[in-house]
Formats: sequence, C-alpha cells, structure tokens
Amino acid sequence: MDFDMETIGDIVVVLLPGETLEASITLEFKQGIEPLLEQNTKVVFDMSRIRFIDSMGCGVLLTSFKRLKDKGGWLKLCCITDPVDSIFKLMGFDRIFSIFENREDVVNAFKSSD
Amino acid sequence: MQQVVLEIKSHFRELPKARDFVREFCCRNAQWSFDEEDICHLELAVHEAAVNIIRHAYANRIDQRIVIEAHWFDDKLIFRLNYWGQSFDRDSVPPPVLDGTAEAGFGLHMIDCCVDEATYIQSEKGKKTVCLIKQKKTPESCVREAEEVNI
Repeated sequence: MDFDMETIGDIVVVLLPGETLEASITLEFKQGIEPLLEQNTKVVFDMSRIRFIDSMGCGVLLTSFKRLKDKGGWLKLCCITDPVDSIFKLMGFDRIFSIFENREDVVNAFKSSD
Repeated sequence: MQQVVLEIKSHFRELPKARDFVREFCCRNAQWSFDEEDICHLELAVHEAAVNIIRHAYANRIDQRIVIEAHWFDDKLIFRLNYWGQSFDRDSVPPPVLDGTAEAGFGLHMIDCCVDEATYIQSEKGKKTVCLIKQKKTPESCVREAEEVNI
C-alpha cells in the first residue's frame, strides 16, 4: 500500500489512500504504515478520501494512536468526512482522537504543543 | 411487505456488494424518510454482521454462503443475514472497551448502536441468522430527534 506523504518540519502528514478503511484492507494498511510509525513520532492522518470505516478500520487507527503515544509521540486526524465523523461520534472515538478540520490547523496544533 | 435477497460469498471483497444492496434497498423506498446518516448506519450494521460471520462462523473460509434478505414492513425494516457456520453466543462476548486502550472488539457494539434491535437466531437445520431491525421513522420521532440535537 502506497501512502502520499508531506513532511512539515518533524511532522509527517499522511493522506490515507482509497475510499474505505475496512476489514479487507486493514492487514495491508498495518504493514504499509508500520515503517512510518517506526520512523516518526508526530503523525497526521489526512482522512479526506475515506468515506467508509468499520470496526477493524477504527482498530488500526487506535493501534497507530497507541503506538505513537507509547513512544511519546502523537497521532492526530484531519479532514474527516461526514460518514466517518458520524461513526466516530456513535462510538465515542471523537473523544479519543484529536480531530482537526484541515491540515493547517493540525500542524499548528502540533507546533503549539512543542 | 417487500422482500429482496442478495447472496454473497464469505470473502471480505464481497462486502461492498452487501453495502450497495442496503443502500439501494433504502433508496428505493424513499418514502420511509431515512436520511443519509441512517443509511450509513444500516450499511455499517450489515457490513459488521457479515464480517463477524466470515471471521468467526466461517473461520475466514472464503467460499461459504451468506444470504442477505431485506424486508420492508409497515413499521420497520429488517435485514436478515443467513449463514451455515459455527453458532454464536452473543452473551459470551464482553462489552467493548471504548476508552482508547482497546484496539478491537467493537463490531457487535457498532451493530447495536446502528440498529434498534439485533438478534442472533439458530434454527434446527443448521441455519443461523443475524436479524437487524430498524424502526420506521414517524413524524413524532423526527421532532424528538431534532429536539435532542438542539439541546
């Protein structure tokens, strides 16, 4: 799985590929994202393309979130679409993840927390 | 009552067909006034039920049958997912941990949140069924929802 990435200082913004984050691709996603989580501590997932997420998709986001948190880093999310926002609110994940409207807002939040 | 049936194989790649089936069925009956969020939740409920069947009832075998029936009644919409794998005891599944420390175990809770009722049925001939029920929206329930949003 290929990820489009943008590096802003020590922050890596990753555009999640495809329109879904679900059972059929979570294994491939985990394998693809692993090196990125290994090499970085401040990561932003741009979710502007994701129109559908299921429980396993939420699981890989939480795994990434914990992985970075455990080594003193952060994962933040931006550009959430309405269907994903609805599921996050339904499950209470909107209270776990830091979610921002756009890339600029989330990068500024990272900088202000330095 | 209206009824439509879709059969898929027990493969994750078949799941978009199940979601499209739900969406098309809901849109065909637009007089029920389900909004986009309702349809997304129904898609997710059927998807999660199918994922559970593939992973647990069929132990990830990809060549098994899942037959999805959609039924419209006067007061409710029902999706029934029929399968012939291992049986499932809903009560044996612990509640999900939703504080950010758990990374899995959300599927059944998602189903419960997305529909009004989810039941798990086993017939004598080996057929098992996940039955998902969504009540029809009434003008009163729409007003109640709007009031809750405004609170």
